[in-house]
Amino acid sequence: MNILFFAQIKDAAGMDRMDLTVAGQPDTAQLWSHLCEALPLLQPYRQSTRLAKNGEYAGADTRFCNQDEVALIPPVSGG
Amino acid sequence: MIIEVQITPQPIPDFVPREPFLGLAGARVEFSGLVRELENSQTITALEYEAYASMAERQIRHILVRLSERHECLAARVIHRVGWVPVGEPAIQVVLWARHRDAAFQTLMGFMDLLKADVPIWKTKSRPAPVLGSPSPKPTPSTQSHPTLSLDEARKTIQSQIQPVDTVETTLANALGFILRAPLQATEDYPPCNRSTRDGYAVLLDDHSKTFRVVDSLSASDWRPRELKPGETVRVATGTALPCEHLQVLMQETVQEVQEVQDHEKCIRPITRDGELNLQRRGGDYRCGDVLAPSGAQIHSGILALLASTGLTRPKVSRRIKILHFTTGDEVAQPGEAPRPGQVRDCNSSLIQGWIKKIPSELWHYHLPEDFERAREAVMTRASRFHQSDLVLISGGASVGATDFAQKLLEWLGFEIVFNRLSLRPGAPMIFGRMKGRIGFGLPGNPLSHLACWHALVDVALSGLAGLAPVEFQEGILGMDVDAGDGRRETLWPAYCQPLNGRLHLTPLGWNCSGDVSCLATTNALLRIPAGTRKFAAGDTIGFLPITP
Repeated sequence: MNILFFAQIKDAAGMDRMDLTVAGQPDTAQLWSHLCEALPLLQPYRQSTRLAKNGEYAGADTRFCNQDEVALIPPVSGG
Repeated sequence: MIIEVQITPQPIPDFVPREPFLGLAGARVEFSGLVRELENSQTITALEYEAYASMAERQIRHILVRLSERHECLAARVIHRVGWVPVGEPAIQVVLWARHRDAAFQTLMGFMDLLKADVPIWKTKSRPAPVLGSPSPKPTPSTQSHPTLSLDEARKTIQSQIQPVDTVETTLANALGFILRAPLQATEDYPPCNRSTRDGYAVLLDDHSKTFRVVDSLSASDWRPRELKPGETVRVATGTALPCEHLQVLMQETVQEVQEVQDHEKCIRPITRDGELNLQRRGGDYRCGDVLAPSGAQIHSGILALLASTGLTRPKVSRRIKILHFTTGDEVAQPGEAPRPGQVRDCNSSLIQGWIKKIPSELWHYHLPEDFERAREAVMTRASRFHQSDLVLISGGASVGATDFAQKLLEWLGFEIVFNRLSLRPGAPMIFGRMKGRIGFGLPGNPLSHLACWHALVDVALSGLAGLAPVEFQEGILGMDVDAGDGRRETLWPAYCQPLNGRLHLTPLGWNCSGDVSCLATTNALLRIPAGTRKFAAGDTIGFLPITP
């Protein structure tokens, strides 16, 4: 799946996207585990960061697959 | 509900589109969220915004649709800017149309709360303001690259960044040369009454009596209205207010004055009569409400006379433009000094002193040492002037030499550099920067570069600040062949323009390099030789920019 990084996470990761391949259809908690395993520096952001799937916020029950665009949304500050 | 959403790096325009629901909407609520000077207790000059644009747009729509279920709005337009947004400029603009104001206000409040919670847009960086007068961090060399602009692109870019300065009321005694910021509109008809244009006798228009009895005699300053009967006339002078409607004035030369014997009354007998009315009607020159000079007109003697005529003795005009000018470089001596070997005298400051006379302005000029740190210290001592200025000019040091620090200095002062290179000869290393309430230029130091850059570019900014339209390119006829010698860049070639046989005739003047000065004596136009064209022949039509030497 196509993982997108923004704002402070983008700065910390030093990139604005990465590819991640997962088996099956993980839910949000499982996807976080995959993400932190692939990029351990994401761990501190997990509490405050929401996931979005294809442009919509994901809930706890949302299932993800390899075709999805997943964005990590740290606390927003627009306006 | 109609929803329009834009996530854009462009500045948000001030205008609000025409009502989409003319007659249906009873309320339009507009909100702009501006970048403030203080961010996390630090003084800044700009904030950078980043967005996950596709999702941000979708979230904004969701929020508006959700809110409209509770507070019915007809339409919404939301623009959020991304990238660097200077202090004082809007980062977001929301416009809502609704049948009633309650719905629009409620939606706006709810929308902004939800936007700040759910829409994936972030403030990512801030640009700190320099602290003048105290030790400052070393300027970081600019790493941002800027595209090389054409002259037209540069002129458009400058125009898009300029807002006219505040307006002030002035007096007639001081108004000459200022730029009107409200139309000069007549508040009454002129002339205010029907007036005679001849010395003579006013009679009823269709009265063909053989003899007229003179019932009154009026001078130009008299105002004595009365009705006339057939056979009656009133003696009038040129400019006299006529006593009633439906009159004509018989010229004094066309009547014979006679004395009626029985009652000693003075009478006249027309000798000849033509159809001339010999009068100027009320409002015949201008009517109440007519615009006699538009906003943006520069007040010359004629406009001054109209201000006087209409009684508008406190016209609203742009205030004086405040210009801070630094010359740089050890290679120039002051005009009163004897140049050391290798030096030439500074003539740029004299050029600029003359050019800014075009509009009312105040100029502070200082020469800066060649070393950047010392120059910075010299600027610090002028901090109060800097804070008052609308326009900061640095002559010289615009190029990439070891001692060329114009860009570094502008950046240190807090300017955001918009462009720093043009495809133009002379004048390629021209720098343009902006910050809240102020713009800055770094002009290449040679006098002919100054000539070209000032008239083609700085003048656009100066005019814009004053609320005056910029001078535009015109066309004329070339008097002799010209070979620009550089097909790659556009060239602005000094020339002398004069009217000849009803056309503008342009004579190219000789120059070898942008350091030449002798042609400044006669240059009153800049020929425009586009990139890709080198030669023009005598008789060709050619574009040029008229300039005031």
